[in-house]
Amino acid sequence: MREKRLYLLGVLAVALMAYNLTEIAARPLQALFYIPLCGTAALAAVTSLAASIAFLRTRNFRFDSLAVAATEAGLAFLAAGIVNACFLIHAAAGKWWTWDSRLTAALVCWLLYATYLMLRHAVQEPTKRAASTAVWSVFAFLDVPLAVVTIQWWKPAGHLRFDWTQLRFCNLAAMVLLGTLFTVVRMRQEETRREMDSLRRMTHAL
Amino acid sequence: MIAVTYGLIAAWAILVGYVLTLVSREKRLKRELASVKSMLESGQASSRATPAPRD
Repeated sequence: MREKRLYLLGVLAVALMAYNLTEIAARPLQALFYIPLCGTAALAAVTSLAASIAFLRTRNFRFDSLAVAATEAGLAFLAAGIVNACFLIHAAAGKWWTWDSRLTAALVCWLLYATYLMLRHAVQEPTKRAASTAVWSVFAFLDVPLAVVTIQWWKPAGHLRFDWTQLRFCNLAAMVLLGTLFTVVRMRQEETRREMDSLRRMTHAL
Repeated sequence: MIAVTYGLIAAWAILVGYVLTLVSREKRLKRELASVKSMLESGQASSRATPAPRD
């Protein structure tokens, strides 16, 4: 049943993306593809924050699995968004990177969440690992609203203005569906790994 | 328009790369889980076969 739901999510995401592809040529707003990518990453960060707080309150490891899954999927989307933005900057200004508020805030955000994953690899003991990374996730999230606010505070030169109502909602919906699919699959992998660790402990005990 | 297309391709390449890492991780996990389960079963069988120590 769960597998069927996952397949359904995937099929829905692909159908929405196929629908978008038919409109790429007609819609110059496809240039703003980094917005749904970064929007999905922001949603993943919110999920990770909620799961981390839930873990700190309940000590239920399912929340820890959800937090790591959402963080990893969000990192992939944010990386894709940053790279996409770099191509647009190169087309507009002839250079691959500018230290404007948007890109810098996104990069800082990416580095903070990458540190989350590095911290997970560094701590061996499961409870300590989950607790320390949950605290780090709460700290890292502080950069997400900051990234949004900095764009309003320090508008960079050549800041693209667009009407939110014109933004292809389907694009964002497809990305969010894809992000959900990645998160669920990664969460299941984390649960399997936890189950395997407990089996290993049983094997050593025998 | 070409830059937009390249940007789209690059973004999709990253997402596809992530999917590939998920798939390879899934395969590795399944393999490891099967080996741990077989180790556990063989461990249980050997502990059953070993006679209890006499006083």
